[in-house]
Amino acid sequence: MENETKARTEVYEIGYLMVPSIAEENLGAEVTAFKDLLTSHGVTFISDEYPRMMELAYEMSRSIMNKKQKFSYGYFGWVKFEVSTDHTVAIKEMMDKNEIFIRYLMVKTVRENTMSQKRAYKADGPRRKPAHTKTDAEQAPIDEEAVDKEIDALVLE
Amino acid sequence: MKQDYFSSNNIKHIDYKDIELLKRFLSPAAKMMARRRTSVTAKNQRKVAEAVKRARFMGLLPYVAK
Repeated sequence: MENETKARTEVYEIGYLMVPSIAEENLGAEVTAFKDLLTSHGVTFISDEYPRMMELAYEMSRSIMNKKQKFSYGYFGWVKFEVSTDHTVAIKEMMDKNEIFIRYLMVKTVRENTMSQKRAYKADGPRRKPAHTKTDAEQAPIDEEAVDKEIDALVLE
Repeated sequence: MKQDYFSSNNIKHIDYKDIELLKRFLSPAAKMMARRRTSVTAKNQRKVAEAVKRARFMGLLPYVAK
């Protein structure tokens, strides 16, 4: 039983902020290197989002090459993967040592997409529109009668 | 009485990256709204609080609005 609990795998997600000094053309190589490091820890990738440059909500500082640096921008990306619980400490150590990351956050998550579907709320809007068309349809027979009367009037003339 | 936003929109997971969703539960000063204002269940309020704190750590949301 103990061996089974030790070999347990969980789904994790690492959200990371990369230093903005990386050039856009080198970003792909940095991401690939990061993913290769994760692969060396035996992870199975589930999904990810390529990092994109964003303005941070507040200024952050990080010690790089024994020098404290301040950042207002960073590349934010995330990767979701499945890994054995034994490897999580090693992955965190690897992330701490890597100086291309300003910050990272490793959390337990679920396999399916956790982002809310924004369209779900808006989907209610168009559904109400057919209700208006129904009232138009109800008015249609009245229009037909009016048309018939007009035709009769024309025929009498 | 106002219903829980998450159950009415069938949202099962509250992600810290979903900042547009989280902003609904913040005041203009970027403080978390109380449960009596958000009208979400206690369980979901705790999830919102967790997600907001994670988003703040990652610089996606401010601790205090300027």
